[in-house]
Amino acid sequence: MIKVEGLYHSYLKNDNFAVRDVNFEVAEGEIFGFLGPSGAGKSTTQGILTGLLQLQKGNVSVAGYDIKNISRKMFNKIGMSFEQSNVYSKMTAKENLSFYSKLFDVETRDPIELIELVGLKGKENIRTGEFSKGMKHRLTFARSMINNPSMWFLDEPTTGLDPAITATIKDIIKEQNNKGVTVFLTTHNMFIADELCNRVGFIVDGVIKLIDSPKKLKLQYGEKLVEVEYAQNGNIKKESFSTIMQEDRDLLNQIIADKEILTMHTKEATLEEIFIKVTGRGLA
Amino acid sequence: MLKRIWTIFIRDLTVNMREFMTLFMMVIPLLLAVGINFLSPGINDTSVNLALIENENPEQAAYFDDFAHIELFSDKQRVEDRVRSRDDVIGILPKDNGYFIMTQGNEPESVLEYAKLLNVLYESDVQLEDARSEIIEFGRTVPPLKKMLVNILLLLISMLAGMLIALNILEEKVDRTVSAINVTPTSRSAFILGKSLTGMAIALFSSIACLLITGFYNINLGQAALVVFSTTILSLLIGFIQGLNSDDVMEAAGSVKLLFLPMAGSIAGYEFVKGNWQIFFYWSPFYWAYKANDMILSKSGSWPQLILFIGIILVICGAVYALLAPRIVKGLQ
Amino acid sequence: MKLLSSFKKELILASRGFYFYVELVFALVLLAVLLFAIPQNFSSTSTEYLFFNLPQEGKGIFINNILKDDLDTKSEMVEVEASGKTFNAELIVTDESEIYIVDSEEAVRTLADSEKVIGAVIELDDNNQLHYKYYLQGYESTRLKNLISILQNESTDVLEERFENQDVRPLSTDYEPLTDRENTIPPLIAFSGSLMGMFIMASYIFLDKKEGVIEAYAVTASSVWRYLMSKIFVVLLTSVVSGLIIIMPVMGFRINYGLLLLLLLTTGFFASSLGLLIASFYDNLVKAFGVIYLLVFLLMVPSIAYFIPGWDPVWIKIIPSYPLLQGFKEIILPNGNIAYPLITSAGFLAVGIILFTITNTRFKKTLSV
Repeated sequence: MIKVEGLYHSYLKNDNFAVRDVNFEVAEGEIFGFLGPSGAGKSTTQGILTGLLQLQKGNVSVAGYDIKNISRKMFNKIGMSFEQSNVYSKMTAKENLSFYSKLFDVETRDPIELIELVGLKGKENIRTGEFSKGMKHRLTFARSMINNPSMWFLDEPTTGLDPAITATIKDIIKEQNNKGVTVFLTTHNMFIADELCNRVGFIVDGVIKLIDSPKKLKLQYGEKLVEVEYAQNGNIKKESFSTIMQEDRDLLNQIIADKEILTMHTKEATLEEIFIKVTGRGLA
Repeated sequence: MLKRIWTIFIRDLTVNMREFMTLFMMVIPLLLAVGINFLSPGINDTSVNLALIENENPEQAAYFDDFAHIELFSDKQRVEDRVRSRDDVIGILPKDNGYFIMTQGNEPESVLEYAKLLNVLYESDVQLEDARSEIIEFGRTVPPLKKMLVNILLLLISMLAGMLIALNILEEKVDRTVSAINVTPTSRSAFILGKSLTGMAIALFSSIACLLITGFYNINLGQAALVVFSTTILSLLIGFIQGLNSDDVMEAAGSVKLLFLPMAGSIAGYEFVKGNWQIFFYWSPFYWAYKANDMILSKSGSWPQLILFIGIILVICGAVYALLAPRIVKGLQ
Repeated sequence: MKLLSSFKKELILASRGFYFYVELVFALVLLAVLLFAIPQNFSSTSTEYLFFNLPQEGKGIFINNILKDDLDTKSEMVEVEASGKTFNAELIVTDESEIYIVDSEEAVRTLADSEKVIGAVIELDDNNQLHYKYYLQGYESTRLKNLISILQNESTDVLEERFENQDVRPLSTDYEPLTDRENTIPPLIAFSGSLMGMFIMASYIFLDKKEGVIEAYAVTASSVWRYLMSKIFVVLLTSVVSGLIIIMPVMGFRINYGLLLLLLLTTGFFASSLGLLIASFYDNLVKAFGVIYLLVFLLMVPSIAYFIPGWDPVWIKIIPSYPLLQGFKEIILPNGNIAYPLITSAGFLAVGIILFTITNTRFKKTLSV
């Protein structure tokens, strides 16, 4: 669905590249996560893929269209949810979606249905200028589905949302993906990426450091540990035990048998820990 | 493409109709048109103002009333006080054998001569009933000043259209919705055209309405619409630039306000600068628009002339667009 | 001291902004228009087309009479075009008019119609009396038409003699008229210098509101009036500078700059207070704009009376810009009335103080809104 080869981009049109020799592919029906700290080149890459930034060097195709000579028809197949909500504050939620739907040549979804889907039922006739940040963000997300896109670009889809709504958004993404929608997810929230993505790509300073599925990454880079908190002589002790090494396994069994266990967690490597390990940088 | 242009136009129109500023921009020209109707008879009736003593010579007062504005006062002192006041009032007061003319001393010469002439005619007992002259009129009822005011109003409407566009573009910037539009099948041209239509529609509507209100209903409205259209093109261009390059309403408004200067200068140039020197205003599309409007409002001039003027306006607009196109495109990304 | 430091701060802030310079540039451009587009004196020559349908002798007398006023006492044979036709004419140029003597009534009619000027045919009627036929446009006032219709009732010589012998008693003889260019200055400084303060003040306030500066200010120990006053000082500074930019190059040192400054400052204070008051009623500039523009249009109406002395209805004099315009005029007149601008300044100052007091109270209540 997306093919990127030898992508370069410089905002200053000199050798100072925001993205440098980026290569990757996203298969149809895949959820691909693009992780990286601020300024890594995520938005630049996404901007080029969506035609918001002009392609300077490289070959990029999206949904079968060559980005070098963008055809406006490509956008009938694309949906984009922006990190910063960008709805018309002087129009109601329903008006925003109705207006937007008329810009497409394909069949579009019912605005009311979408508004309800993202938990804004009852707010359809309120001007979005009166919405909270989270509500605007949800509407922006809803809008990105209006043309039933087969290629869906999501830029920080769960920013500023409470856990309940976040869960709803994640479910929607999974549901759409199950219907065959390809998702390009840009985020620095590794929990979301871990939960949703088939594969993730780590980008730092404009260069892709690695691309693989979260599971494989954890297997490759992670440590299998169990962390136990238990009471001993009136004190609380905390220890980590490897679930691979036999010594630790025996010790763990003994503690479970003899001590009063307060808490016990399996400690898999998180994507963030893997990211830091691989790139030497944090995701913040 | 047409469907998208229409969609954007309807969106803008709907939102604008809810906004005080737009309604204001639509209503103000109409109010000004009514104001012009109200003011112009009085302004046109510019004869001289005379101050006389009440009941001193009613026959004289009645005589002068046919040729000038008369104000009557109880005594000479009151007349003198009136003459001393800020405006140009001439007193005609009795003396031993006739009347003398009291002036403040700073009246324009034409005003004084008018008063002197009237007094001479009175003293010579020249009566209206004995008028020996025949007056034939061409039937023009619109005084030049009214025509000028209406012409200025038409240019003002074009400017307001530009400001409206600037505000609409600014709304897109503030709400960051340009990028959302950019990920739809809407092309840049469709977006620009769609955003322009509201301003143009309002300009056309206001112009035609103002022309009708001020009594210019037997001019060639089609010609007038064409000139409005072409002047609006320039305002739209400027509106786009200011909208895209300003960060807030005040900056955009301030920038568009600066355009009032070349507009006022062009009007002043056309009205006051003599013949050949007008060449210094040829660069200004406002000059050509004012000239074309003048021709249309006077019902003189021909289609070829009008097309030439409109052509010049469009060429200048084209040059401005060519110069500013990169900025517009950059602003739309 | 607090006020001075507040003023300094506001001045620095303003000088980094857009509006500060827009007003100054505006004044510079107005100056350019004044110096280069507006002539020292507007030419007031009128054009007339005459046809003498008289015997040669009679025609000769009339023409010789007119020739006396010609600038070089000579006429010139020319061709004039109108409505696709060409006519021969004898042109006589006086200091007040260009008189074309044509050779047919049709020429008079066509030219008067096309050029929209007065035309006249002088002929003999059935009683061998002189008969005058005037071609007018139609929009001339009834009073003017009345005057034209009786002008020829009496002999010109008689009228001229009586005209010269009119007893004119001016109340004062030391008036010097202004040139047309100088006469244009009062409206320009009135609007660019003084009244712009209304618009600028509102803009500054809304800018501060937008940036949240006002809320930050509300939690300081400094009082509201200091904040407002220091903003007004900045606006007054630009008003004065704008006014001086326009007037100094044209009038030089011939005028009383003390009086000018006083009038600029007091009227600027009034306009700024008014702008502040309007701003206090709205939460954004777009809404306030409407009221401000309406006011600006209303304030512009007295400038019509200023340029057209004959139109002077009573209601015009109530509009504040009327005394403002007249005040500036008195200042630039060579022997102008000093009392008038002084009284006008006092009036504007008093009203400005009242408006400021009301505004101060409103802002105290609404500052955090």
